[in-house]
Amino acid sequence: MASIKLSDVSLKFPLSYDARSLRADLLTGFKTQNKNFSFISALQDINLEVKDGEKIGIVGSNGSGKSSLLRIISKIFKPTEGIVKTEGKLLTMLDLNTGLQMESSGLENIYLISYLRGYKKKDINQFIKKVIEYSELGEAIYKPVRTYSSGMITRLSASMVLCFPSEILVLDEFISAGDNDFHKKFEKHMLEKIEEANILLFASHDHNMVDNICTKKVYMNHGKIVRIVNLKETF
Amino acid sequence: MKDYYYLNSINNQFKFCYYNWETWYYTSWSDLVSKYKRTKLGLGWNVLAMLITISIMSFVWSKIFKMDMVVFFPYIFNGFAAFFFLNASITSSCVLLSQINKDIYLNLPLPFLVLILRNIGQHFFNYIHYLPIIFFLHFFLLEFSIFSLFFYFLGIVFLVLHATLLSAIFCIISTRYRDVYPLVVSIMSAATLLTPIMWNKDMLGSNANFAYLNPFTFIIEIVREPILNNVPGPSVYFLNIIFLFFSYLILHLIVKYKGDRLIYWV
Repeated sequence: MASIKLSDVSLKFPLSYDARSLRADLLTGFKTQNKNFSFISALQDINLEVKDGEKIGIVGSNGSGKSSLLRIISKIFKPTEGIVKTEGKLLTMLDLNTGLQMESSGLENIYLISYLRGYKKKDINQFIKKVIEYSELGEAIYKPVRTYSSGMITRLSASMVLCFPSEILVLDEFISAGDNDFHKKFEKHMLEKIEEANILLFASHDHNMVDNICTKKVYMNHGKIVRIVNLKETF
Repeated sequence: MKDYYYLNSINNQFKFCYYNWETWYYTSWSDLVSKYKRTKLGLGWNVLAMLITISIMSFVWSKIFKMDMVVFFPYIFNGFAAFFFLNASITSSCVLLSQINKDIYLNLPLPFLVLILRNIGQHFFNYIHYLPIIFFLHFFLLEFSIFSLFFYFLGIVFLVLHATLLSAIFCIISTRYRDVYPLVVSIMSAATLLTPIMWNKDMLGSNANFAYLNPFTFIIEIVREPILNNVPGPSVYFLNIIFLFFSYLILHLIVKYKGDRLIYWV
C-alpha cells in the first residue's frame, strides 16, 4: 500500500544576489547572514494526505510551488519545517532527458538512466525489451544518441518512463511526447501506467488533462494549497 | 529508503553507495567509455600520452639530475600516474554539482556521494589502464616482490580513500563558493612542482622531512614507493591515517550541518 503524508511542511529557498565570500564567512565563523542574502518562501504550511489509489493533479500559475512540492515528495529537497512521510517505490519524472549521455547508444542510455534511478541489472534486464519495443527505434537503438532527432530522444526517454516499475508516479508537466503516431500510442500507454500506479502526483497547467485523469485537484498559489477539489470517487 | 536519511549523514551516504554500488560503478565506466568513443585507440590514448610525456620528461630530468634513466623512469611514471588520478578527481569534483551533473542532482533523489564516486570511478578506471606499464616496469626493471605488490595495492586503497574524501570536501565547498574552483586548479598546478614527483625529496638533504608538510608527498609515497621495492616506513602510514581521519571528520561535520542545504547552492 502506497501513501504520502505531508504535515505542516514549509520550504524556504536561499536567494543569493551576488557571489558568496569565503573570507567573510570564515571571519564571521559562518554565523551571520550576508546582508545581500535573503530567502524566498517556496512552500508554506502544506498539509496533504494521499492514500493508495488516489491520483492528484496539482495546478497553479508559474512560481506557485508545484515543482517544489514534487521535489519535496521526491526527497530531493528537505523541508525547512514539517514532516514528509512516503511509503512505496517512487518514480520521479521532473525532466524527461535527465542523465542522457549523447555519445552512448540508446541501449547504453537505457542502462545508464536505469542505474541512476536505482534499478539493479536483473531488474533492467526484465524491462529492457519492453523499452526497446515501445520506443520503436529499431536499429537506431544501437546508434549514439547524438545522431537522434529530438523526437527520437523523446521516444527513448518516454519509453523508459513507461517501463520503470513504480508505485508512486511523480510527473511534472509531462504526459505527451513525440510525433503524432507515437504521441497517440504513448498517451494510451501513459494513461494505462497512470491507472496502474498506486499514487499519481501530476503538476500541470492543463486543467482538462487533470480533470480527465485525476481523482483530486489541488490548487496552489504563492506556495500554499488554497483549495482541494474531489473530481472522482476512489476505490 | 527512510525519509532524507542520508542528507545530513556522510555515514549513511557511504551505506547508500555500498548497497547501491551499481548506481555509480556502471555509470562511471560508461562515462569513461563514452569519452573515448570516437577515437581509434580508445583508452589507449591515455596510456600513450602518459608514456610519451613521462619518457621525454624522465630523459631530460635524468640528464639534469645526472640520474640513471632506468631508475628515474619508473619513479616518475608511478608518481605521475597517482598524482594525475588525485588531481583529476579533485579538480573535476569542484564543478561536479554546478556543471557536470547539475541536472541529475536537481532532478533525481540521489546522495551527492554517488556522483562523487561516479567521478572517482571514472578516473580510477583511467588509472587502472596504467597498470600494465607499472607492472612491466616492476617485473623487468626491478626485482619481483610479492611483499612489495601487497603494499602497493594497500597504497592504492589509501589513494582512492584520499581522492574520495578530498573530492567530496572540495565539491561541497566549491559549489558554495564559486571562487574555490580556480583556486583549487592553481593549487594543484603548484602542487605538481612542489610534490616530489619529478624530483626526489632526498635532494633536500637535511631538510627532506619538510617535504611532508605537503600532504601530497606522503599520499603519493604510499603508492609509489612499494612498487619501486621501497616499502615506506610506519611514519608515512601514520601520516596517511591521520590525514584520512581529519578529512573524514571535516566531511562529516560539513555534511552534518550543511548537507541538506547543498542542493540550494547548485
